[in-house]
Amino acid sequence: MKIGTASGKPTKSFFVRMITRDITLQDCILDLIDNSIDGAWEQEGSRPTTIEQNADLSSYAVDIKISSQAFSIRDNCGGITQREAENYAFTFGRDDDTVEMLEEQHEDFSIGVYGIGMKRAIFKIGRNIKVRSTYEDQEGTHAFEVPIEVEKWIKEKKWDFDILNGKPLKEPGTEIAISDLNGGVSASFGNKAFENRLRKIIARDYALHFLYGIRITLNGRPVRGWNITFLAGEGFEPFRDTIPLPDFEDEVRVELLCGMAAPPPDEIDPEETIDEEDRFGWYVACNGRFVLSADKTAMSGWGTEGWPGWHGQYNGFLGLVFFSSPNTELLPVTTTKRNIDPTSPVFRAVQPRMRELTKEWTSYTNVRKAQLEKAKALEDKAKPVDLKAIMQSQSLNLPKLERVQKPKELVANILYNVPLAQALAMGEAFGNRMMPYKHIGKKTFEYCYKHLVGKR
Amino acid sequence: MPSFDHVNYSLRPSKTIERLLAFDSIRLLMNALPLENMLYAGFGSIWFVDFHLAHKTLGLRDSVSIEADAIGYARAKFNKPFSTCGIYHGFSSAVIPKLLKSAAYKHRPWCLWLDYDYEFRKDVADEVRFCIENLPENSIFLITFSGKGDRYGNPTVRERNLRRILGDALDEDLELVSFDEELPHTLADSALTFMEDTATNLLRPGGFLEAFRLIYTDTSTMVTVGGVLPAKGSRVAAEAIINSDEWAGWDDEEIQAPLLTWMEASRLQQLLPREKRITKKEIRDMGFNLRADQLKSFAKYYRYYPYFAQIAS
Repeated sequence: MKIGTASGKPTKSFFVRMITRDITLQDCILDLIDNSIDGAWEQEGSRPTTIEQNADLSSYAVDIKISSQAFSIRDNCGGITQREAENYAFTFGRDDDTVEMLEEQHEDFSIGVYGIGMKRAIFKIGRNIKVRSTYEDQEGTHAFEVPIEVEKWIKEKKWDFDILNGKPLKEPGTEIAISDLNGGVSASFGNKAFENRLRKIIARDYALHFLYGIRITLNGRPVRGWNITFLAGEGFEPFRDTIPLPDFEDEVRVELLCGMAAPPPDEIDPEETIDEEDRFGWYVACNGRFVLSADKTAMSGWGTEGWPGWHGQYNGFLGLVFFSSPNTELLPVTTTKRNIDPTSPVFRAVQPRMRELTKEWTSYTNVRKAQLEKAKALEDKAKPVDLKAIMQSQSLNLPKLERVQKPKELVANILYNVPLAQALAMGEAFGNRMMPYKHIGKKTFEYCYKHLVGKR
Repeated sequence: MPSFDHVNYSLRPSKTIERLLAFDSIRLLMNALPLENMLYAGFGSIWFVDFHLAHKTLGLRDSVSIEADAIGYARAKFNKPFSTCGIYHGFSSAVIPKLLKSAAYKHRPWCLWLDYDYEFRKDVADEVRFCIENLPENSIFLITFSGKGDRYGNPTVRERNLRRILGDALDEDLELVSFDEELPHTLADSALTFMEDTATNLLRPGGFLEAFRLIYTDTSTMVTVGGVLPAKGSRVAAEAIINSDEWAGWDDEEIQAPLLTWMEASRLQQLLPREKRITKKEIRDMGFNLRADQLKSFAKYYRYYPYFAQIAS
């Protein structure tokens, strides 16, 4: 017999806290850029499922401004319609009917599946928010705005947001402006190093979209997209092929590219940064957006199940896996869209091929050590080829270097300490005051040997 | 060879001007923040020039000088200017953490000026990071380091070398000139960004306020940068001071003070202050001559220009 009712009502403040917890500030901004790019593809009518020669996003622009006082992102990617705003753009999550409707309208091949990206981002960033949209339809140009004062909204009973008449933007698109920034956000946005890091990440993670011509500016300066190239020629040829997934036929398409993006290092000095540009390793893209970048960890497979663990010797290797599907739930991406779900069936299906290709590279770098001069001569002659121009090739071609069994030479490992000032002065004498100590040691030994002992 | 064996720290007009600009600014901060019991700390060497200023001009009672060289330490103890000046033997990277743990120093603001003779290298970055993370609230922190190009390798490797040390604090897409003629400015801006980034990553409640940026040249170009680590409640007051017209600790131009005789400096000073630029003709009419840049520099910094005298014994 029912004697009462235990309330199960969610509280807004709890909800806001929970959805903003598991995402970084940088990833929030990337979520908003994703929305802009989704809008651009929608305007174009379709999104390529592979690296497409003719895709063109050059008429679209995203302008981001960050400062200790405010944040804004504005695009010309078509805007949010009033119907979209009323029905799902501002909901927390998407119900099944909405998902079905979106699929029917070919709002597919996006990356957002949980319907949470924009809300999570704006609540994470600040407390005074205004979303403006301008869009066109058969009836003309329309503009609206949705102002959100977070503290006030939290206290209200309703979950809805008011849509008001708005002043049109210059072009159809969306603008999100946020002030009264949350604690920590203000300090980060006012920090030049944060801006530099954000710029680097945008350049890397949207490399494909930059290839298609999209323009993204950050604080007035254009972001220069990373120009992805592989080296080819002299026995080097990158791998490019579609990986069949019989269990997901017609639902998920996978394209894989890998090869040498730069010659491997001659030797790795522990004092040197392993990968100064942080661009080598495996990348995984879902519907065109890199969700895993320059990965050298177990996440992409390094150091697991027959894979070697990453070592600086493998610098120069670049692997790209492109997953595309109209059904985003099948893609191996987490809710933050900044990581992959390694248990995802489609990802696990591709990993063996990734492993085989990786091992071909690691094997080459091992064999190369014994034939360094020959290898370098070939590597130096290989030429960069743009991503779009890479031909289909079902094998990763690397020069066949013989495994030379060098007679074992007895070596002595010379280690000693010297006053730092002397080491720096010696580096300076060799032309680089900041020369790694290992190099100073070798050069000083070679110099002394030449002058005191003579040629070998 | 320790630098005090070949550099008399009480000379160097540009360094003197830089020091006075910094102390003028620190005095302004002392009017706005609770800094009465601030400790002054740094590398006094055997001359203690800034220690004199800290005690007599700013009224800071206690000070700490750190000396790594054994002979330098003995001479520093001999030459220490005041009874409340403590001399500590060792590298700053070892001494500062110890002092910050002591009851006498851990709860009061510091004015810490680490005046390195050398370039911004990895151990400097580590020490800066430590200080930003651990100095008590309301502390003022300055560093001085070499802005000379060849200290960072030849121009083709400088960016790589600096990126290893400064990481994201160094802007992307810098032109070659940023690592050549404009290197001191690149270093100044990047070092400040490095400091701010450290404070931001730690979420220091009051953050870090960039306040000092002075590039000067006597025999060599040096860079001084620094700021304030305010308590949360002091940030607004500190910001107001730093952004005021009176603030002298920030200069986008390089300080290159001319070496003038007492007579030359006095005659020029008699013409100042004034709105109109001193012309070379005026100088020639006085009976001597100077370059235009020397005139400009003196007119800008005459209030801080040092007069050196040699006393024959």
